[in-house]
Amino acid sequence: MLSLILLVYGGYIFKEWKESAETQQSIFPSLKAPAGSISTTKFEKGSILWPSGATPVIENYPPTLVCRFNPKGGMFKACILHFFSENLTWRTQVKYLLPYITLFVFLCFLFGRAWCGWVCPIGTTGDFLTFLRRKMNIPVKRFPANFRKNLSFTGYALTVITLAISTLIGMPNLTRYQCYWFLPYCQICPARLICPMFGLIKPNWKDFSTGITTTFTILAWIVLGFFIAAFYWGRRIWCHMCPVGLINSWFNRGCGIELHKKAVKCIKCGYCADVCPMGLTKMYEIDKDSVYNQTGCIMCMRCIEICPRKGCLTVKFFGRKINVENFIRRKTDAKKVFEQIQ
Amino acid sequence: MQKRFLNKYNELILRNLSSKKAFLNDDIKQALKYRERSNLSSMDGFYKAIEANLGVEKTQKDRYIGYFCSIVPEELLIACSLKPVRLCCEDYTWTNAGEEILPGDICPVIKAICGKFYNNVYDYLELVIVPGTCDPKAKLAELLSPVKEVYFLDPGRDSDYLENVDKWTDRYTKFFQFLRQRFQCHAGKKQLLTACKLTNERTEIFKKIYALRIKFPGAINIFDYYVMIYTSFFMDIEQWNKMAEKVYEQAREKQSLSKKPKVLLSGSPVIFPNFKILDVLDQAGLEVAADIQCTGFGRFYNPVAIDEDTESGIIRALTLKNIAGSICPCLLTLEKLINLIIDTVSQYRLDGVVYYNLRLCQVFETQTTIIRQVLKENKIPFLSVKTDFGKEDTGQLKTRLEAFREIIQSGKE
Amino acid sequence: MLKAGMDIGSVMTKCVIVREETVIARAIGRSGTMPEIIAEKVLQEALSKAGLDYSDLERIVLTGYGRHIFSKAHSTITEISAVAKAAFHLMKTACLIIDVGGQDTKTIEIDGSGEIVDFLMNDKCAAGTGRFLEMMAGVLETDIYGLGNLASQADKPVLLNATCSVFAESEVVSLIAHNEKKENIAAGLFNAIASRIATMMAHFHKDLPVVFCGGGANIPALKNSIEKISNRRLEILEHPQFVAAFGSTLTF
Repeated sequence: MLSLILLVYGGYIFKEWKESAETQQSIFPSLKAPAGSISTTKFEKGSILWPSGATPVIENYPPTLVCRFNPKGGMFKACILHFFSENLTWRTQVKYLLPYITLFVFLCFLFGRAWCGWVCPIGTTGDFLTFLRRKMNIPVKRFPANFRKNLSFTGYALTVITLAISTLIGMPNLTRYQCYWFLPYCQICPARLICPMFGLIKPNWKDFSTGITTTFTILAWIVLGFFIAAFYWGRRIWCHMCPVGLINSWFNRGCGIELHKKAVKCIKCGYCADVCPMGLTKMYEIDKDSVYNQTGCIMCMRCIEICPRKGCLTVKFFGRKINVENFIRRKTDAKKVFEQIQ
Repeated sequence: MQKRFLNKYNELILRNLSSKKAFLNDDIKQALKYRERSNLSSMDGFYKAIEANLGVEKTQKDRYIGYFCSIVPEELLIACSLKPVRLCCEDYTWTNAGEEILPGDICPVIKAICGKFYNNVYDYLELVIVPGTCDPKAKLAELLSPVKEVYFLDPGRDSDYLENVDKWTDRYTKFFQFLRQRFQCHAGKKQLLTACKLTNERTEIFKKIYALRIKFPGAINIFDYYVMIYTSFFMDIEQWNKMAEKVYEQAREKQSLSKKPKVLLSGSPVIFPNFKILDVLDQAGLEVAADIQCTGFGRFYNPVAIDEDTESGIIRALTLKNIAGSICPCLLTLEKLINLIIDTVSQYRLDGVVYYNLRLCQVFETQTTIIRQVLKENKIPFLSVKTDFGKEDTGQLKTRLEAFREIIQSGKE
Repeated sequence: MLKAGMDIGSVMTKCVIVREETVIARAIGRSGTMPEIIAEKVLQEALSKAGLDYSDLERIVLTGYGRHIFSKAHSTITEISAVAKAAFHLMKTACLIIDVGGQDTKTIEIDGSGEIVDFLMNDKCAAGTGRFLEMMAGVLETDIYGLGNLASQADKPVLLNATCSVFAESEVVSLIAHNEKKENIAAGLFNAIASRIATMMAHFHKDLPVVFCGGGANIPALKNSIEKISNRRLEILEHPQFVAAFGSTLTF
């Protein structure tokens, strides 16, 4: 299962990359505003957001892969939602953020939502759950398009609420409990409980210190429960809702990776739509020659691997064709069979 | 609960059964003579197997299940340790025998099948699976019911994956449960995977042979090709795989370019021993480099692609392979067929398309006009011929096909 | 270059001798039961008409139903290609060709460069061919040309019901018994055959010029019937019965 390994290592590659080079510095020095922020809000309450036993690392924000809950992440340590929430709270000046935003946009322009499919550690966990499910011979649950659209709507709603709350708590002296609302999405994100395990750190399971943190912790459990259920039965149904994924998906249409279909070769066998972990069927339905990338596509390339007609589905990176067989990880006999007619 | 057709009236009908066995009739003898045209010694095994299959008592320990069409999934049968035997037949002698039960303007293939069953040729079968594809074939479920136990497997009339995959999976699952119950076998994921592996190997070998023939049609004779496919109807799959691999290895050394124009043959199925159309094509100087028929390309070209390897996932993958990827016109696959034709002809630079209609097979004939118009737009020479099993119109067929060859050759200059 | 083109049909065998694409002699004979011998005879007849000898010929091309029979042939070609070549040579334009022969009827469409676009043959059923007319002429105690004469004098053509020639024969007999005029029956027969030919013509483009050849073109009544029923003008090629034989010499 190569891609599984690639997923895990992908996450680790970025995690471990710079670790040796950088010195360990303070993570989020206790809710203090970073350099360049305008907000004068001071948060006094401490470690609610830190996993126990955390060692501090350099504060850098290129928002790609690893969650901030895994402090062993080297250069990249937090996701895009965290980036926006925190900097809205601190009202950081844009000139400090520009390099990170540029890097983010550049990466998205190159790869679109590909990191959802290849690198995201949550996705890796989910694929592992799928593997477990298959071993236990439990059939997959496929969800209709309406359900998926509703999930996306929920995801967007969550994002908007998160950003609104983050903006609000940046105003000084609103309430005593302001600090507990810091990074609202991070507090309920399932990554809070999963990602630390990638760095072999005990996650912050039960934080019942105040009413608000209790609520958030319980919400986190509920969301985690939903997350596990979704991945266990649904093969990436979570990714329809994930706010980070939704933001990345805006870049899908203009990005460097393009999926192409040659319609005359299509025999409408339905393999591509069947294997898509996001449940998308556009590749199957399209009758004309090229396909524009859909917003739900996580660029996992499963459809291209499994298509039995050579030359029907291809992927191009800035115009140059990629040979997807190098990423193959299907059942052992399938690889031989898909050698098409010369 | 498996329903039986014609429950009340079976006794009546069974009283009138005569009893002939399959025998080496003239048609088969003549068709076996194509062995002399073969230039591959490894094909001998296949020809011998056809002869051996006639009239010999089958071993008692093997359980044989008959079926028709490419819709029925052989993998489910193999997983239950049963031997699948495909019964599609175009034997003129048996068509005449079937006139007693089905007189009139009815598909001669169905007549031949009825003729064989009502003469007890297939008494070694334990069950027959009848798919609900074309009208007379679906009616076979009732016609054969007095003689043999029948299971009716209906794929519906639509081959669109999105709307029908759940229905197909449901029907296949029920079929699988029926098999396990009826034959008291415990087939699960492991057996299914083994069966899929065998059929995938077969697909792989077939694809190699197909690719070789498209480039070098002379490497494996068109008659040899159809004989190989016919033997896969009844031969044990592992044995077939081994023999076919040997044929491929031997044929690979005979790669010489052909001077005759290469055509694509499509339309009604061509089944041993009715090689009339192939013979006439050969005499008219046309080389059949590729074919798109359910008894040729359509039987093997889709592999089973297993991503979800749970039991229900494998069954779902089987429905995609057999039904969604099928080219049977009963499933409204005209656009798919046209795409395949245009793609194959333009990619391998074939010279024309010959569309073969069996007389009285309406479902193929209804497609002819549209295919002709589309191919005309794409500047691909097209000819449709209509004939039945009799030999009287061979001369007229030859005139048409020779004229087609002349059109192609003058078009090339 | 001296060439001989032979059209060994099921009813008649035709031969033309051609020098540089001009016909210099023609001969025709009934095919009968020994087509090879008849072919030889017809060839000799044409050669003697041209004042030539067998050894002067550089090429013999065969077409027609019996094209594989004659051993002296250098090459063969189907009558479809032969007729198309000849028609293009004479017309120099895209057109629809109708060839009514003894046992088959062909409709061929050629484009502006003489290539065959599509063709339709009726060779399974007698009810659109010369055979039909021969049978009916026998019932009315005349020959094909007499039948044509009768038809041109009709005032009210009969509408025949039978689709098959065999049943049409019985229908004609009963019409005679009912004192129906021979002229009207004959005209009805020509209309029946013309409607079959018009159905075949409907397959092709409607505004192509139509040319008529084959043995059936020698009967004016047939041409008139087809023109009336299909509502298109027909042009008869010269020496229509020899068109296929002539066309075969143009091919090699």
